[in-house]
Amino acid sequence: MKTIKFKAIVILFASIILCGACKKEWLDAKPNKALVVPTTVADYQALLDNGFNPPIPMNTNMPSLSMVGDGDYYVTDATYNSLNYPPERGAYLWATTANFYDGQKNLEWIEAYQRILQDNVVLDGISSIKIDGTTQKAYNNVKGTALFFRSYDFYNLSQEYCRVYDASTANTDLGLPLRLSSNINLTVTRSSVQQTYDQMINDLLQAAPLLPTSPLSTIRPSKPAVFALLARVYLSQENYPKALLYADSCLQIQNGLMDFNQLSSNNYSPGIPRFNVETIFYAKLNSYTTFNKSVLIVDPALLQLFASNDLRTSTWFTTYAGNQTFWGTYYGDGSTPFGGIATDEMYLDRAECYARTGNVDLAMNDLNTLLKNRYKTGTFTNLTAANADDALALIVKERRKELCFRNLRWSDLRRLNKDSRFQVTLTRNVNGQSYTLAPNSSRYVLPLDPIETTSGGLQQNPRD
Amino acid sequence: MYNFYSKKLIQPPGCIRKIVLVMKITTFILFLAIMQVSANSLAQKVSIKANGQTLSTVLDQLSNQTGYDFAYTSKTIKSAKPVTINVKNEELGSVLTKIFDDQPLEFTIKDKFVTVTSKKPAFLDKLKAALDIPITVTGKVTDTTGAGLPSATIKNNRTNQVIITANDGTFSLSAQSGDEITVSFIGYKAYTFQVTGEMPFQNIVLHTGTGQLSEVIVSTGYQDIPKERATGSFSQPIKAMYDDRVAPDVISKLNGITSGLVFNANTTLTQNGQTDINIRGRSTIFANDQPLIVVDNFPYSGDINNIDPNDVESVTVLKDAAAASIWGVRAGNGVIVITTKRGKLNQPLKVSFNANLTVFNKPNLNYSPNQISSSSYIGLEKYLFGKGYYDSSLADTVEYPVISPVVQLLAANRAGTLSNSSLNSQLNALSGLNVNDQLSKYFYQKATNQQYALTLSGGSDKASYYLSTGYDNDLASLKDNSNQRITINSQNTFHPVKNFEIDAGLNVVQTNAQFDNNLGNFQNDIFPYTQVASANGTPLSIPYGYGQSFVQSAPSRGFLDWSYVPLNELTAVSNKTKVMDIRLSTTLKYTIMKGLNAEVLYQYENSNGQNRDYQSQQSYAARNLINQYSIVDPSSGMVTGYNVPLGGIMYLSDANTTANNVRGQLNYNYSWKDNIITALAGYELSQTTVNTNQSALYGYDDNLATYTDIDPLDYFERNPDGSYGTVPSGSGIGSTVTRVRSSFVNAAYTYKDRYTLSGSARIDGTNYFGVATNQKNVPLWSAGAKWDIDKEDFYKLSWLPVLALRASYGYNGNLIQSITGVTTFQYNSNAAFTNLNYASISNIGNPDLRWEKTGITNLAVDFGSINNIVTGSFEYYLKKESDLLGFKNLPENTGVATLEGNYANMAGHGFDLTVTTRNLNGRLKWFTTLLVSHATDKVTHYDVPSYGYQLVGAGSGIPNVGKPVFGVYGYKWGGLDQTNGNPIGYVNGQQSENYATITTSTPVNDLVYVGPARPTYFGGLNNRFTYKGFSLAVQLNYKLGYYFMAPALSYSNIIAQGAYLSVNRQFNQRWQNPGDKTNVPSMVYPFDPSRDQFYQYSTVNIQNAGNIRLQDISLSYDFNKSVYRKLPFSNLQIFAYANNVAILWRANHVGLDPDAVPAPGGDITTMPTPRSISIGLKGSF
Repeated sequence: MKTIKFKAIVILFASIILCGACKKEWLDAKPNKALVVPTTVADYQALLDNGFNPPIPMNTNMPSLSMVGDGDYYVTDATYNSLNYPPERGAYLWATTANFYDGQKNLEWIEAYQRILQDNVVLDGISSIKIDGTTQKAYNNVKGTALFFRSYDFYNLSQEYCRVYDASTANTDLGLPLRLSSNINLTVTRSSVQQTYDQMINDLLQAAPLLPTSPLSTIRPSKPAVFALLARVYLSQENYPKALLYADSCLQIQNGLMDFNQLSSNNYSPGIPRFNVETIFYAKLNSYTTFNKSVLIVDPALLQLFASNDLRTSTWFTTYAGNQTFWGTYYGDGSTPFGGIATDEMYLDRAECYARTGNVDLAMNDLNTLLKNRYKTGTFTNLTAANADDALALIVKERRKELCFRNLRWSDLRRLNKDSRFQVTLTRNVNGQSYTLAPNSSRYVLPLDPIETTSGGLQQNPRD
Repeated sequence: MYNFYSKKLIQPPGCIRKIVLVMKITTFILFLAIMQVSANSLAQKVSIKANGQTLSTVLDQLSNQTGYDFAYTSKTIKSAKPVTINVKNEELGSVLTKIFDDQPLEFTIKDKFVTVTSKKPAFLDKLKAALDIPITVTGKVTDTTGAGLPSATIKNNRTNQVIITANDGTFSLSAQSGDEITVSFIGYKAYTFQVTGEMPFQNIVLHTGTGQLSEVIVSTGYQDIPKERATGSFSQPIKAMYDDRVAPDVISKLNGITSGLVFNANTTLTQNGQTDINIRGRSTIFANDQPLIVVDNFPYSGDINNIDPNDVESVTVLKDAAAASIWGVRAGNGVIVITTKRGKLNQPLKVSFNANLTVFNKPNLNYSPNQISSSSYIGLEKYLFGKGYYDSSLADTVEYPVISPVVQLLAANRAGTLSNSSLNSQLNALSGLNVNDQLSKYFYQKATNQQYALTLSGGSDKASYYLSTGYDNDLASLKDNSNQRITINSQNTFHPVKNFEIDAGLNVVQTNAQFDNNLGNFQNDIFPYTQVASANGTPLSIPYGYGQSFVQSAPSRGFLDWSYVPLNELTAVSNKTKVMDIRLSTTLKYTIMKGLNAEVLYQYENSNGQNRDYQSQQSYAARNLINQYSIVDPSSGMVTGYNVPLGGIMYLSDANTTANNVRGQLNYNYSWKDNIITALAGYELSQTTVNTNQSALYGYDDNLATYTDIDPLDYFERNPDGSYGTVPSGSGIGSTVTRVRSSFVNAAYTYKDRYTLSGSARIDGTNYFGVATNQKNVPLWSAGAKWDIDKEDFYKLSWLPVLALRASYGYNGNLIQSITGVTTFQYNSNAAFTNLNYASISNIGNPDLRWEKTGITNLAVDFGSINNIVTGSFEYYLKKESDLLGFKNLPENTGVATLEGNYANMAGHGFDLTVTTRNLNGRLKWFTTLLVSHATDKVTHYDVPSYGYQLVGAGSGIPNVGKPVFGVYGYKWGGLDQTNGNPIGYVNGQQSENYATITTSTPVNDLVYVGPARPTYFGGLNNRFTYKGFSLAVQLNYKLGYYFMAPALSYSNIIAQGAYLSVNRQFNQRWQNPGDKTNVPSMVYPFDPSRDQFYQYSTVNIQNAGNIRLQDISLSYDFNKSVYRKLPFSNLQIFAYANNVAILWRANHVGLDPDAVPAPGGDITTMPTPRSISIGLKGSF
């Protein structure tokens, strides 16, 4: 019968449609091929491998607001008047808390905590991944990387937004809000400076055995990077024996230096290759308008420190509109200076620690090893020091020259200002007015932005 | 010579061999049907009055009046009953029918000879008469074109039983001899006939009643419902105006003539050249706010502009839950259902055509207030030069910024190389120029649209066909930009065997678009006195990209010419996009038993777009990239090689969308006595995949198709500033899949043709990430009721014969695609420096994520006065949106500024009033339709407090509890300080000039909320006049009850773009001296951004956006075949049409079209749509 046949066809059709695709998995298809719910070690490694691309790069936009006020450069009044990001003006003139942000957010603080969230997403995420022999190494790398990155941001933020480490007050001084979980609904208040340092040191000590001595790329952290960061942390705590231990550990693994005579500079760049033998960990600072080489004018006092046969003058500085400007080390992008870790810093760290611990010869040896790579061939004669204090003075002077525009001076100023021999008063003249930053001023601690202290609920730094 | 029979004796031929024969017979049947309905006209008219007289007496009288002879035997006449009749001037045929109606006799007429014989009842008839067995009446209801009318009402007046016709217009009804049956259909004159003992197949042709009410079927995309039984809120455009309008797309034709539908202006969508429409206002804050568009049963995945409006049969807007909830989670913003044309069964071949030409005026380039004259501009440049603003640019030998010609002259004068007199004469010469004159001349043209369509349709009794082809050729107002569209559309329906229907459609659209005009590349980087061509038309270079001294010296260093010559660019680039859109649809429908059928619908849609953007080596883009990446020898400064190879650059991209939709549906349609039930249930799966990829070929030679690979990985030094960058690889690929699975039921029950109840429910599930499994499926439902009071016995209002009440309640949903319940990563390729694949967090998980829900209550009254002089409806609705997406502020140290989740609620209400009046109905006909819609929305709950600075301006979209989503807020304005021209604001209620505090810290409550940014009252007024063949329609559109922030002067914004100053016209009214009567603050350098921000966003710049515009006028003349007998067409219309005619009234005092408000800052490209005039002709044969 015809009708029965057709009935059968219809029922068949209907049943195919009704049941053919009603399996549960049909709705489990990925809506976007590029989207994943992270489940593997590789997924988390990929998150940490975003060095420089939006939205949240791991290796750039490192906190550097303090460098705006570290006194190694100045800008013209016209440039200052054109600055449209209030915190940059605030940092430039070491403004009071009330005048610092003009209601704006602190973007570098936000960016640092965005990276910290990514670190925490990784650390929480991998904790539930089962590992075996084949994935152990990758797992270790991911875990160590996340711990390193988190410590790196905590360190950089602590130098700007916490008081300089003082063992006597560290337990009561305001530290950072230590975000250690990916749960964004948790409320976190400010820790103490001691807790902040302990957290960094513990995390780094945990990361050191997990990371390789030689990474795939220096945008990934490594053992020497962990040691170098530990050296930095201990140095800022004035724990010179520990700093010596880790600077030395770092240099045991990586100690290459570039001979500046071998650089091929040209009209555009200092000729320093992006990834060079000195780079231990590659990162860039947050870029502020005043870092741009077209407006930045290097402090003449800094320029005067360089001898005429010092190749660093021509490598790092260039003339722009009649002024000496800085055009970058390790990475020739004028407005985003290098913000990572390199061996030259470790040589100077180790030299200082040797000097501080009375080992003048070793101190001067490290200093001269570095400097002979910086002077014109045949014109450098080894520096000598009569005693540890002489050596320390020479090393502190070289720190300012060698590590300029890497946002290391602010931390040095905070630490060294405690010592009357090295105290510096910074001054600025803007629009006919003079501004100063006295040694050990409470304004060596930058304020938190008003949004974080009001709706964010964090305690503001006490400043005059 | 007449043949006249008292009953139809046509027997359908036993077999049909040739279609021609079928057609002939069909025509014959139709002819007879028409005869039956309109009653045949026998020329002879008679008047007769009889009261119980014998039949022979009556017949004698008739014979005397007509001259007809009557033949009968005395035996026959004896059985006759006495006759009672009273007719005046009636046709003989109908009089005889009446007389013989209840006689046991019948008659035949031949050659003026009437023979009367005895009826010979069949055995069955005798049996029926004895047992009073019901008679089955079958037939078909059609319109005058022969197309079946589905869902027409067939009512037995004795029993009040009502049934409705099937989709092809056929019906079958049980009745008894003598019953009166009325066939009615809204918009058509009702027809009543009497059931007699032996009823042939009834071919009933209904004629339209009024010209305005012919649209009565509303389509939900799942079923067609006669509006008289629809409980929900449906609206359709005013059909005549819709047909009159000339547009390349469907949606824009709805503007102002569709109740409840508003076209928004100045929104993100419209600024991107897309249409922004809302049905009954806004139902969401951050999720998709555009209605779902359904074409022929399924959501449309392609570009809706690809649908040729000539192929569109009807458009229905689903406004409330009862109408739209069948679409579930996609119906939150309402649904627009578009149905395309079909062929009709039993219709001869019909060929229709439509050809028209539209010409647009050139846009008015001087419209935007964000520009000033050359002389004012030069004055400002002089001022800034004096203040040293240009000094750093003039000294910049790293980036070599553009220096304006005026500043160069000023600098030369300052340096002593240009005399004062020479400077002044050169500046004077520049003062007289206006770049817009040249841009209008060299880059614009009068846009034209040509549109052609040809349609063939028809059908036999087993198949119908519709074949159309259309060609559109649009030349845009920007020269060298154009768009061509070819559409081929074929819709065929087959009835291969009884109860089985196959519907097959194929729709192919190909568009070719060209975007070669480069005006957009430099329009914001040009000085008002710049010239793009010399007086004799020679193309000139303009200051662009880099300083002129650098550009001039570049070739001597081995660089390619680095200058920008706008007119040469027109030929140097070729940017073409080709889109092929194919839609295949099949419906299999099988009637399982009476009233129950099963349908399987399947649709495949593939849209493939290919863009080919060729930048030849002559183009600035290619030369600039090659130069930037040229290898320069550091010592000599000469170019020694290329990182981007010489030659052109070819950018290729491809986007492919494939949608598969399949639906199984059971339809039940049954009526008995006073009851009608319609119900459907079904299951649906849909999948849409989108694949995209793009690539770039460098060093491309379009003649040889050769190219050179580049190194996309290394960082190269770029010229001239020495920054580092990689050569963009231009490669990319992406793929998305959207799956939705739904089950739905829908039922309606009508009792006594006056009480209707309806309900629907639907469950949707999708594959969006992370909605927790138990929330992947969301149930949504609706219920509605309708009461036709006018059909109640107690209803006595004779002046208001139509009165019905409707009510509905239910939920629609809205999809949330952008956020997820679990944390997701987005993968990307080629991380900088390492080239590793890398990921970023796409979403921080929010496990509590739910769907957005909109609850709608709709209350409506439909009315119609006697003779349809006034008809219309009034609908009032309440909306409550819950679980709306919103943001929650989090501390900065969480790493996320805000978390998106279901944190908001909204509410809204409004009404839609539609009134049509028939003002004149003689030879001059005049109809008026008034549409009034009111829509409000209000955020009722939101977790994140808003800050004052977020809300100022027009329509920030930042939710503020108690106010609409888009509100216009301003700082309280205290006038100008008359001593220095400083604007005065308020801090804590006190007058203040502390702008930083005002702009950063003014609390929300201290801001002035002026009103909504979206229209709250809107609609149109349509007047249509017809006289003989002429038809004139005039459409007014209006939008009222909303506000906008007019672009205002901001001094700091003037210098936001380096050398190119963007200055608002208000500059000329700025305060300069005490006593100046103005609200524009004085100029103080250095500029204070806070001061500017305060002034720009203070209430003094807020304007009422209300406007009434003469939207369009259409004038047409129909050549009627009855008048023009030699016309080779069955009808032919010529028409003229004007669109965007004029703004009749606007509330604002700043001369702006509220539909084209330029954004604050430098927006000079927002311009009103120019007026256009179309002429064309339509016809068919």
